[in-house]
Amino acid sequence: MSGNAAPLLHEIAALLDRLALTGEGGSVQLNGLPLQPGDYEALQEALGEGEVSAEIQALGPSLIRETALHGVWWATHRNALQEVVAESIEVTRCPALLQTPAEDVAEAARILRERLSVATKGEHDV
Amino acid sequence: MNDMALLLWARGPGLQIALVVFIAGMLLKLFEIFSLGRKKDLSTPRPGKAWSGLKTIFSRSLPDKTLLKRSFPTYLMGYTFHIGFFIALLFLAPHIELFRNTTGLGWPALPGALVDGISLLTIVALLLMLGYRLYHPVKRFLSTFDDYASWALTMAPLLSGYLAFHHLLLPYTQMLALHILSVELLLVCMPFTKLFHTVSLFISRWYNGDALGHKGARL
Amino acid sequence: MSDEQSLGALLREQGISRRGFLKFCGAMASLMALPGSMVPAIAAALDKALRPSVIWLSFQECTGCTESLTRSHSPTLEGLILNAISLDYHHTLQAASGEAAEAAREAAMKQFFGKYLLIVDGSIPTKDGGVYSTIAGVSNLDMLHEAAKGAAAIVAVGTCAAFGGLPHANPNPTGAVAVSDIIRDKPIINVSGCPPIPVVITGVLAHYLTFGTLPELDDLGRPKAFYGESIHDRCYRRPFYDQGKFAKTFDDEGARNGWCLFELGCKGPTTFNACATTKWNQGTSFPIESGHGCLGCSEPNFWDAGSFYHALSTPITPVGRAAAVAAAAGIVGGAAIAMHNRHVKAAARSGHQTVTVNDLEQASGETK
Repeated sequence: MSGNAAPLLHEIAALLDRLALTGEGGSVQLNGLPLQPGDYEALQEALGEGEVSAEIQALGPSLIRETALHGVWWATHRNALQEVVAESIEVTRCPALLQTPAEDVAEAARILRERLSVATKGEHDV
Repeated sequence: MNDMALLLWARGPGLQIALVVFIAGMLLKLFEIFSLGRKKDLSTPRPGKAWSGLKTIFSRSLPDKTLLKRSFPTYLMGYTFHIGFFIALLFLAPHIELFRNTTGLGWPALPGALVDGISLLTIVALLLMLGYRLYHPVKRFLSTFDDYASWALTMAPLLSGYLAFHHLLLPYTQMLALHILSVELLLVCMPFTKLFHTVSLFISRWYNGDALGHKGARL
Repeated sequence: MSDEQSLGALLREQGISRRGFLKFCGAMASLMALPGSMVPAIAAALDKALRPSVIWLSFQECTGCTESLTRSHSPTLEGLILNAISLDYHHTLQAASGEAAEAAREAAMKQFFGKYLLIVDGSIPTKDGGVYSTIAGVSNLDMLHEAAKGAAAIVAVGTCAAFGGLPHANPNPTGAVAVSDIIRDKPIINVSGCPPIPVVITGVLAHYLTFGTLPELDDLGRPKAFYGESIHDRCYRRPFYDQGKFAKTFDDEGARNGWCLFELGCKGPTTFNACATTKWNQGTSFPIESGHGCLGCSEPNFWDAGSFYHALSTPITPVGRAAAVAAAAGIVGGAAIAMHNRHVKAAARSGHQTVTVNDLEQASGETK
């Protein structure tokens, strides 16, 4: 393996160790690194394809896939024009972006109650 | 003055000044030496020694066996330094580019890593030479300000070049400017210090060789 | 005009979800070269951040910096960040013109005195009282002095504002100088480049929005997150430099193989910018990737730094004439010394007296 792929893989291995021991992982930002031609492909090949793949539609599509190595996720964030705005490798049990923000949970409960009350009102009217 | 301004001064006016002093100074010194002249040797020259002056210019580059044994460290460090210095000067790609730009002559470069290793060896040799000069009583006794100044003037470009190459100590732009300035200082001082030996050694070797040949000495 | 609405509320109003906001913060963290672990802190800070008032003054410039910033298509990060600030004056972008535009500037300067962010692009001509560039009859010099008074900080966008740029190049007919040559009592961030990378402009704004402070700067006042490393150090062609493989012309074998462009005049080793990693045109490429050496446009005096096509290690001025003059001077001086030496020798010869043993004995007798 040439170029800068190997050192990145070592960094990922260290992050995995930390995740296993302390529960805290980390991430490697891919945009902003001086990757040589072939490095990107070498990384993809070394990490492989895993079981989970999730797509988020927020300010454009984000694709978050677990690699063949459990706990290593490949996240590609695009804007509405499909241009990559950020790309990173996340070492975590579940990427933060997949989890629902706490405020949204509270908001969801409120919205659901609102809908229910509208529905009940409707029933009484009949 | 910011780093870039310093670098531009070194690559522009600084270089002009240094070259003027260097070229004028070297010519001045050469005229001075040649115009001193020598007394004519009235004895009959021994036969078969017509080329002894020219021969000595080259033969004195090789070590004398007895002297080599007697002061091995001086020879070892001296050779390492001189060869290393010329490799760094003549075979690093940016240096070749300088020669190509100013003289139109160019040649292939050596890989940066190789020149880098040789430069480090050269710096170590120079440091050891200074240490040996200070340690050895006879050398210390014979050393003058000129010797130490010549050492420092030679060391400066090597060290700054090495540090610049590795981006150590100072920002690269600043270190590169200091590197070029140190070379310019070396050029300015060359005619007026012992560094003039870069030229005068050929003259003195020829003179010695010719004088000895005239007397029929074995060379 | 700036208001008390927080950035988070503003973005949600525009229909951007919390996940979207988090993604935006993640992208900004990567933009500012901050670790991913800082994303929650950035999100929390930005959520509460108030929209700052921004006054943008364009002086002796070509509008390339504004073009660079606005060429990015919305809805990009740049667009979002531009939405996140209250751009109260920018004479190219604003709808108002003439007296209405100048009135908007004056109103913003009054209302947000001491709090607004001043962005300047273009250099400031100082010769002949600064008459060479004026806006609404006011010289750039006077307008800068006036606007700087109430600014919390100044961002000098582009090499002209940061270091003088093209107008400052020799012979500098208008006496053009950089913002930092005129304003000394305000924090100034230099975002150099001709033009600067758009995300670098927005990255500085993002940092200011997030932390309310200026990012860490290098000795030329540039944010270290973007100008901390040279193009050369981050260049994907660097291994070829180390191996001594160079393109000699723009169409030779080496050029086709993508070898190092040092010998073709690349100024990458002395140029500090983020091109090699952030790249241009939505991350498509950067000049060296397109086969052209770096011009060094984010460094001071890059127009006067010799040919763009001559290696960094070569002189910026021709040395031939200086060498010839020196040689002539050396020969004349040397000839004079030679004449003098001959004269001394001749005098010594003519002054030579033959001495006999008797003379010496006589002399030693006298001294005794």
